[in-house]
Amino acid sequence: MDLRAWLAFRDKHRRELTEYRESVTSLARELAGAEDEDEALSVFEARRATIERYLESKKGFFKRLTASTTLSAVSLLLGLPSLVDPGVIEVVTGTASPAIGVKQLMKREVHQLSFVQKLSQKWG
Amino acid sequence: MSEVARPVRRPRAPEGVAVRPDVCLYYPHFEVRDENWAKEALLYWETIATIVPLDVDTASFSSQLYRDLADAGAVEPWGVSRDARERATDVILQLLDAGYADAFPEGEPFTLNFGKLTRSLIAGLKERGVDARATGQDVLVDFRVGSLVMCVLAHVLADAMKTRPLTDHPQLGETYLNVMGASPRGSNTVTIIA
Repeated sequence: MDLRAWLAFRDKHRRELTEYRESVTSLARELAGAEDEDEALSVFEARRATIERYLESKKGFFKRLTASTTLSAVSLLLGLPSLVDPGVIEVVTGTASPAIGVKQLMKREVHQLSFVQKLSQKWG
Repeated sequence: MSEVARPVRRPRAPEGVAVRPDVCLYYPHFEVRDENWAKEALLYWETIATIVPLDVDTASFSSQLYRDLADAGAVEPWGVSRDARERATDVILQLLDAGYADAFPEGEPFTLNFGKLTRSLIAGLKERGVDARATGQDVLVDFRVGSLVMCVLAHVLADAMKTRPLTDHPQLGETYLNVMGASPRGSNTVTIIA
């Protein structure tokens, strides 16, 4: 989609976008808080039906914004380089970066999120 | 009048800019270069801030991508306070001394604007034998050095602004993570920023 049209669409659907952000943030928090891959998978599966229903209900919206009806909610978020950066911030400063509310990531969690990212792609 | 055409009294972050959770901070360039990346980022943040020294006029930016984003209010140029630049300088010089510039990817020479630097950083680069050629307001350095400088500056600024540093150059983010991940907690590097 042309960028200008994309930006106008984004502006027009601000409420849906806010809802989308909140749901992704919530899921990311839960996944980042899992103790291990099994728990992350368990959380993922537990939320799967809800997320699928949500995405299906907003199919047109996501299709236009993301050019995909897959679980872009997770894959896009985890695909951003920024999700590697929180660990850096934490290592460097010892402080949290609350922008998206994802728990600060230690190496184990980075690995875990990488696993979830692959999972979401597979699922998509 | 579009944002790019309007003369702007640009705020200096972090002191002159309000902390907002809906802004992310882009690095390493003045302008986002990847449209798809910008779209992805703008799904999660309202605005993408970019580090632009006060003496650089955004009207001189030539990319249509920047103009479109600016017209929609989706980008916001931030100057950087001297204090933040000095904090970054301490870390940059320590990382250079530890040889971490070599960990960054190679590329075309990197142009750093003087407004992004401090005099002590320029002096420090020269003391360390870094080829830093001044061309007007710009300093041309090796891409790896430039990347290291911008990574540190972005992370120091993002930390102060409680926002997220983002790059459309995936190797930079990964390299910086590896570099800092290799630096043990409590080391000098950590102490300086914290």
